[in-house]
Amino acid sequence: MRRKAKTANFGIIYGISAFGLSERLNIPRSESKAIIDGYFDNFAGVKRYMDECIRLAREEGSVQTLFGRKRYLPDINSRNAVVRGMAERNAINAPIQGTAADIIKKAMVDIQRQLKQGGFQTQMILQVHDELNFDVPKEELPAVKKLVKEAMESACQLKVPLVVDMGEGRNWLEAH
Amino acid sequence: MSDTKKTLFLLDAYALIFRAYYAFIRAPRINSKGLNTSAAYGFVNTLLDIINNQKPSHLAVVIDFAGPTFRNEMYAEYKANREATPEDIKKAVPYIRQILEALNIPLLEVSGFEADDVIGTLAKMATGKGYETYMVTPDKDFAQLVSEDVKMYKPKSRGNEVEILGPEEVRAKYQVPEPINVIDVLALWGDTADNILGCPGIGEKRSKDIIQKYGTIDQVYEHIEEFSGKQKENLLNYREQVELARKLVTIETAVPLEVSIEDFARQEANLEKLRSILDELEFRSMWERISGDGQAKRPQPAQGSLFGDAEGPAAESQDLPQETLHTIDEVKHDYYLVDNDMAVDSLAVELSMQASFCFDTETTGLDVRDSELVGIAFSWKAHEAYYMPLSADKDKAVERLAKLKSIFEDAQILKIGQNLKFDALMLRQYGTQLQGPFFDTMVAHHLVQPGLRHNMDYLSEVYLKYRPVSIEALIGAKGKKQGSMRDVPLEKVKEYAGEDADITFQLKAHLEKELKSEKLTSFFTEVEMPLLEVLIEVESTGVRIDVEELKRSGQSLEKRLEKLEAEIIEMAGKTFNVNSPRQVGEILFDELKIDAKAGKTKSGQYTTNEETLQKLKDKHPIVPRILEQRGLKKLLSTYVDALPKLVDKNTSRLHTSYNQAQVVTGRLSSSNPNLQNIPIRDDEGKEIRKAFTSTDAQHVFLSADYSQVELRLMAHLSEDEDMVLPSTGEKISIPPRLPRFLK
Repeated sequence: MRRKAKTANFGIIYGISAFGLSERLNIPRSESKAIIDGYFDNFAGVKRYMDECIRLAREEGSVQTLFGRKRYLPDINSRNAVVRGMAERNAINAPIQGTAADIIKKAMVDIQRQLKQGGFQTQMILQVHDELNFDVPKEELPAVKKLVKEAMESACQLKVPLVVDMGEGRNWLEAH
Repeated sequence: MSDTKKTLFLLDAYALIFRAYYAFIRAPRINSKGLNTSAAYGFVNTLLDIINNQKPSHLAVVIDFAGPTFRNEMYAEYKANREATPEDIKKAVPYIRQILEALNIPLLEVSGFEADDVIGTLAKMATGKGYETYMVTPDKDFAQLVSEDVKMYKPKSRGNEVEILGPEEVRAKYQVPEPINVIDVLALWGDTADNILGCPGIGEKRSKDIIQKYGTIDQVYEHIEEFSGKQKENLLNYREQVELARKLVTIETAVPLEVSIEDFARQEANLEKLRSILDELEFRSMWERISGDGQAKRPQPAQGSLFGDAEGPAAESQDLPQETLHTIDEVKHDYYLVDNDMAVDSLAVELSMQASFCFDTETTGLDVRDSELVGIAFSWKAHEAYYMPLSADKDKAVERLAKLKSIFEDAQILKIGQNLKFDALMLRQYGTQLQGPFFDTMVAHHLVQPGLRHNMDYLSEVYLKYRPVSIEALIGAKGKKQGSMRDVPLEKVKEYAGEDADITFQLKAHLEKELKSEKLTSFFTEVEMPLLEVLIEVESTGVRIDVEELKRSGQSLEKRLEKLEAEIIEMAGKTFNVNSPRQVGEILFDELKIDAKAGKTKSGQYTTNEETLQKLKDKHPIVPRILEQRGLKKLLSTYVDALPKLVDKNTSRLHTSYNQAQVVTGRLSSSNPNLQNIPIRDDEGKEIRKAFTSTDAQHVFLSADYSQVELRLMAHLSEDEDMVLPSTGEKISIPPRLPRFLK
């Protein structure tokens, strides 16, 4: 149920079709259509935003992130519906994926700078998806946790808060 | 042109342009300015192929009139179902016009008529005047015009050779007594692409059969009593529609034209003009084909240069520029060797006075931990570079490098390079910690043109119109036999390395401009470039891997795998090789018959890829087990078996490589190994993660993860009131109302 909700949620914001969603969730087409329609009834702003992304992409040939990084979508006016559909999904997806990338990149730079300035021995060791991992000397842990959380959460000012979950342990499994 | 027979080629422009555009639709050709050049490329390719191989004595291109034609007057709905022409095609047409102009090929456009009619008229004009005419088009309507002297020429397409249709071929293909009766076939059949309806219930096959028997539409109605049932009814009810279709598909062959076929005689091309257009489109190999350039490297084609007429004067073409890309052989440059202590000292002094310089390391390989420095090239002025070779004796190399250490580590000097992370990591192996600020041309280009390639050779061709010496010319093609930079004569390495530094230096100015015009300068200097420093640090630190733990995980995964395979075989009811997709297919679909409509691959075996099996997951308990078995197998080979080999034996650390210029969205990717691919939730993924540990018991592994960042960004970007909760710091995990729609 939670997985369904999550798939629908992500699928819909990336412009998944009723067909795509029914395939993904193994549910009848009518049900997936009801989910999508229901979603848009409740989140009219999301629908507006998605339409606006596609319109902009058609006009400009590209979309961009909050930081101005562009993604060109030459297929947005294609006559081939499959190709065009892919470009439309990218028009919605790219600003989100790209902004998420920009944000974590900025956070990495900020954290590294502060670690250096603070004379910490802590080292950044992995970056994957939306996650950063550190090798922290025990005595630095409280200070580093605070530093990392604050730097990540303030990497970009949004209308909704950015929230960072933290975990720690002897290895990645325990920490994650 | 030895033949006395004159050949006339008439090209149907839009038919060829559309075909070319869609032929590349899955992987369109995009040039560095983001222009889709598929249509122009495909069209010109077909054109050159004809000029080159068919050597027509006469040639013209005909393009549809952009506006209503006499057919619209007859039938307002004509072609009304067509979607708008894609923008990319509209943009391509002006280029095609210019190319034709440069090639001195006449382009005809006649108001009120389609290209078909103009071509039909020209073909008729040429008939009986000693021409062999070829109508170049994939459009079947043209078959009606075919005669002994007029043939249809369908150009090459993916997997299909050129097809030439003469009267015999048309008779066979359309089952008609004469090519002209193709009109009758099409009148019944209709043409959905043009919104021509024809007779309902009659498609290609029935139409051909009917016309084969009766010859013409008139004869069909003459013998209408021989038809029966629904077909007869339709033929009678829709007679008007059929008659209209017949008129619409009939190509007009008496268009008033004020040209003579002689006007289409081939003329010399204006190569200079052509070159500038092809340059703009970035059709480099095409230019080489046309100018005959690059033939020295390739075997000489049987027929000479494209436009070189054997009997004509050849001198003129030699005065024309032969190359569109410059090379080291003709561009003046000064690349100096810096190979003694005194020279190195003066190089150090020069460098210390620069506000910025470009450098490039030459190495014995591409794997940082497994390669040696061969030398370093520097440039701070276009066309000028310095190459400092380094000894294979590491101590000596470190000693020489020490003279430049303070410069590499000077935070006041901007360092320019292509993929600087590699250079920085190489320098670290020699005790030098490269310090920013940086300008990385590869990362800069990824920021302004994320979808294109970012290697230096490509950037050089695009921005500098210059083709660098290829590394393969020095050390041979990639593969086991590829040599080492160490063994290349010094003089050659100096030229090669000097050129790399020189070009990268020159590229920086171009990319700086691009960043500025895209308003990305501050993101580049404040995020991407400092990030490069962070990545150098992260990569060189590495992460500790517990190889013993990984081995234990491997063993437990192996056990799971064995158990799974035993279960699978038991469910199948017979022994088979679970790792063979063919045998899996046979078990699933022949033995267990879980899907009667199972698809097969080209080679005739059942499709059992993940996508297929995912859909069949609920059909039989064996399917999820097969999926799990495959996942485990993959995990074992990519992580459990391969990971320990990537771990540094001395430090037990893994130095994953991050790529800053690969993913179009701007996300980072990693390789050796690709961390993104470690499964997140499954138990198997957990086994792998367990092996990534903190340095020792005095250190803690800390993980910090953005929660639901994509949904939050959607909330922010869309300003959806229901998603943007009052800012009480409340989580917006899953939009609260969604679950109601899920049963």
